[in-house]
Amino acid sequence: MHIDWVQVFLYGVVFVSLYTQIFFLYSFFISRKQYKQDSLVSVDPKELPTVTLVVPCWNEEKTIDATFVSLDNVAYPQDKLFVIAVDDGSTDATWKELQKYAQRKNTILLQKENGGKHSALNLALDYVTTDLICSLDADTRLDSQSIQAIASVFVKNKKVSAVGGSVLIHNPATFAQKAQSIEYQMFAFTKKVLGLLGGVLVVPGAFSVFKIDALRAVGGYKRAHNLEDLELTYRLQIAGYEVDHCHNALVYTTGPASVSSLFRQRLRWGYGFLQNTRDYKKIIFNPKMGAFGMFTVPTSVFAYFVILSVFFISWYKIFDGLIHYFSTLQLVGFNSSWQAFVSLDWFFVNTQALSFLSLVIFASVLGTVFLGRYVSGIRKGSFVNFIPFFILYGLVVPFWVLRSVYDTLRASTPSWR
Amino acid sequence: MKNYSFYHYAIVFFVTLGLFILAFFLSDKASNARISQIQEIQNKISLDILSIETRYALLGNSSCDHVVSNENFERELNEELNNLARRVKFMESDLGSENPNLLAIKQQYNLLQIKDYLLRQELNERCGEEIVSVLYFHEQSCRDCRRQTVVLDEIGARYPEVRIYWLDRDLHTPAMQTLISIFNIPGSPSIMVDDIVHTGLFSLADVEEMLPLVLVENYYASQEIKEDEEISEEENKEEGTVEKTDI
Repeated sequence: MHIDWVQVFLYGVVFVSLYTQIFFLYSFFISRKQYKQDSLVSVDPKELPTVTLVVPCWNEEKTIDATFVSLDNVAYPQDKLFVIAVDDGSTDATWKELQKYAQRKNTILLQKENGGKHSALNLALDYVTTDLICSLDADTRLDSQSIQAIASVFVKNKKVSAVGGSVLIHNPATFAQKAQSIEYQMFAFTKKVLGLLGGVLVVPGAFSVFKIDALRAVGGYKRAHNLEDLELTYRLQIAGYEVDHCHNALVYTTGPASVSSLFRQRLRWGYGFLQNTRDYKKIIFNPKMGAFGMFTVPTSVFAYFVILSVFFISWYKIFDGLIHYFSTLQLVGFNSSWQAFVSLDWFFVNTQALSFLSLVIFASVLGTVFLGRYVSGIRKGSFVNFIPFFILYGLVVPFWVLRSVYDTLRASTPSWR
Repeated sequence: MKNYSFYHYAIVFFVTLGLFILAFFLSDKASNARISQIQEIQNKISLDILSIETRYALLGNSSCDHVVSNENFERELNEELNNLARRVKFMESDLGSENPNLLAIKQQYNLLQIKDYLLRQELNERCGEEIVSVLYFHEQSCRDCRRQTVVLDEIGARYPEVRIYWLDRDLHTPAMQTLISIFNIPGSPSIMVDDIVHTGLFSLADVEEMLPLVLVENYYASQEIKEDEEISEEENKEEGTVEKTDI
């Protein structure tokens, strides 16, 4: 009996992918009560803890004003809200721009030599006197309610030590941003589910809040292969701190505008993820780590493996098909009915189990995006953006995955930006 | 919920497994539906061939004057054979060439074809019926066969009066092996027209050269007529619009 190993392999990959998708949907379903509870923000303002927003800046002269405007609009007791902006050795006019806010209430401005985002955050850590610290990217816009929503999580659940917010793409304009807008909506759902399970992979550096004690206890930020937010989450999870996700704390980021800048960003993410996961590989399939060790990290690693293998197999098939097509065209000529043989007869539709299963996975990806919109309260989401999403993630993702795997194996460091 | 128990992983596993079983079940249903469609076509062909055979038997020793040929009947049979070949080929890529259902169908239909070929030869010899037959030998392991098959598909579409026999060399039925050794077929792809065996990959033009010249000339002449008609239709339309503006 002849066994088609490629086929067997593909079925294996499809099984795990489908398992992952169902796991998300199933977990959301069984945690729906907790989800409903999380959705109700009803904390007495008197109970709200004090918060310091830390904004590390590196060459942000153009974006910093918008950030402060969104800080001014934050709905939070003013005496409990502090801001620290750190200029991490910018080479443009960031420091000058920051001076406009020197007289702002409860605001500290810091300047230091360039040392990377983690060093800017650590410097700010020394000045924080509040219960909570919130890291915020300079190019990120806060929704006015989000600080209150995320701080409420700490009031409602005393055990929680770190909470990430939902990051969405602000007014997607370019092809790459439109694709990302769908992706971020998907993340809004998957992160919420992971939060419900205690398996959050990463509290996003763009917007996350920590108990200052917990952050100091695990030793603050590290360089961590230029992916400090992921590595910090790893350390918090390993130390047993509870990490959650707040789906109604929204922030908006612009996202890389071009495919090439997106490529560089993802290369950094991919490389940082693989390197950090290698550093903390004891997490993988560690039953003591709960869903984080048993599900989140293993499936994230597996995703790289899937993307690469499906990429190679499908490109091999496309290439092989093209060669067949053109060499056949050479034999029969243009003026033939052969091209019309792509028949509408249902007989020639592929009905292998693999096609049915791929359809199910496709549908579940769509479902995940819609659930993401639902949990983020997006009423009218674009449908058109699905097109760039599927084009970009079908064609370009494998390249940065490939590159980051290659870089990890060679352990060369990609540039920060 | 933070202590996510093993129980949930197991449930998700079984749900996934259930979906897999459902997918395989649906796929199997679809394949069976197609196999039965193929079987239907095959039954039709076998009936046609039985009819030819019976006609031939009736002829016995009497003269050829009694032979009743029907061009439409022959064309339909050609079409059915080509149709079946395409479907079997697709099912092979879908189910694999070793699928027992498919193998049984292939064996039957190859035998039917050989039988038809023999009858056809005798009718041609005895009664001078002129039906052009092309024997096409292919096999799974030959890479060029994929492309050669497309060429023969095209021949079938262009020349409905030509009977193509799609013969799978992988079949180890005694009849097939005998056929191969009688005609001394060295390998695949091979095309036999008028008792001449051509082995190797041939383009559409090459295969057309093997066919009787009249057929090919007729085809191209009819194509030219079609094109002329299209051009004159377009001209008529243009003239029509001019007239309208004049009014």
